[in-house]
Amino acid sequence: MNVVLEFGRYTDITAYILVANLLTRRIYNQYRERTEKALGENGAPPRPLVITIEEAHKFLNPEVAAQTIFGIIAREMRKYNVTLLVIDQRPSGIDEEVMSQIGTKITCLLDNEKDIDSVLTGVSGKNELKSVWLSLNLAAGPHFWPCCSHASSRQDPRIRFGRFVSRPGAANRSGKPES
Amino acid sequence: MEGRNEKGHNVKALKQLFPDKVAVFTLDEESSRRRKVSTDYVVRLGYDEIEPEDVVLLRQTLNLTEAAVEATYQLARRFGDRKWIQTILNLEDSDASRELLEKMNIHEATYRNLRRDLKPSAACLSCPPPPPIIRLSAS
Repeated sequence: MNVVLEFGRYTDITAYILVANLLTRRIYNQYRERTEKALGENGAPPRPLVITIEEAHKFLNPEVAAQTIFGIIAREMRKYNVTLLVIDQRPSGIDEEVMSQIGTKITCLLDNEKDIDSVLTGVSGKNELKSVWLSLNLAAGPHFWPCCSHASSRQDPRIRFGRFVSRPGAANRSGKPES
Repeated sequence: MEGRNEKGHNVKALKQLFPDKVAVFTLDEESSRRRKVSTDYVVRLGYDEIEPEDVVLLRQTLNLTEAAVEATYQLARRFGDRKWIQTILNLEDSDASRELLEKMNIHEATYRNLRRDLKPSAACLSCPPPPPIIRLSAS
């Protein structure tokens, strides 16, 4: 069953943060219990779960990441079959340690040096990737930033890299490496 | 309920496309009713669901001081995770309350900051008790 939650009049960010945190805390507790039970009884672990958060810096900024459920998930929940899909337009607002824990990153154009450095935290071949990045920036022009959902099909450069990407570099719309 | 895409065309809602696979929950029953959205459940969030960790995340948006956030942990330890908000919102403006805050090393200004921002309508210390708890109930 899929659940759609209507916020109605409660449209400000406070409601979103509060509800997201309450739900995620419950999910965390459930998954931890189920995984421990499965370990103890040699049963099947719970179904893998991906929690997606928008405006991730609100949940994962350095000030709060060490104390909140999202920081805990980012750091240690892989063992409980839960992972985070983090979406943000200002990655520099996300805690450095959390950024280094993110396995795969897909990024569109960024024109802020701090954001670029933040996305490349803990990545090997950082300088090479940065030069690929800058060439994408030059090719597409500043009017495509921040592009992801609105960019045209032809000029929609992005790069992907991380633990689960065998060939880091520019990618096309389907996410495959550009030839 | 149908929505509109960026080009202004009508787009069916997930519930219309997959009626058996989608449940609609609402935090605002009245708004859903006005928009003629048929909902399956109403969600009510009560004070007993809110933990100090939630307040940490909301510090910037609620404009709370660091001391106020620290105080939430002390209050939760003292009154319990499920009762701390309700307790501080119900504290009367009395010498006994001030003494209690003093014992917990919580400055009165910090307490007022916390109280004001957790319940904007509670500007005074003698407010009526808060509404009942978050419950998940079928609409």
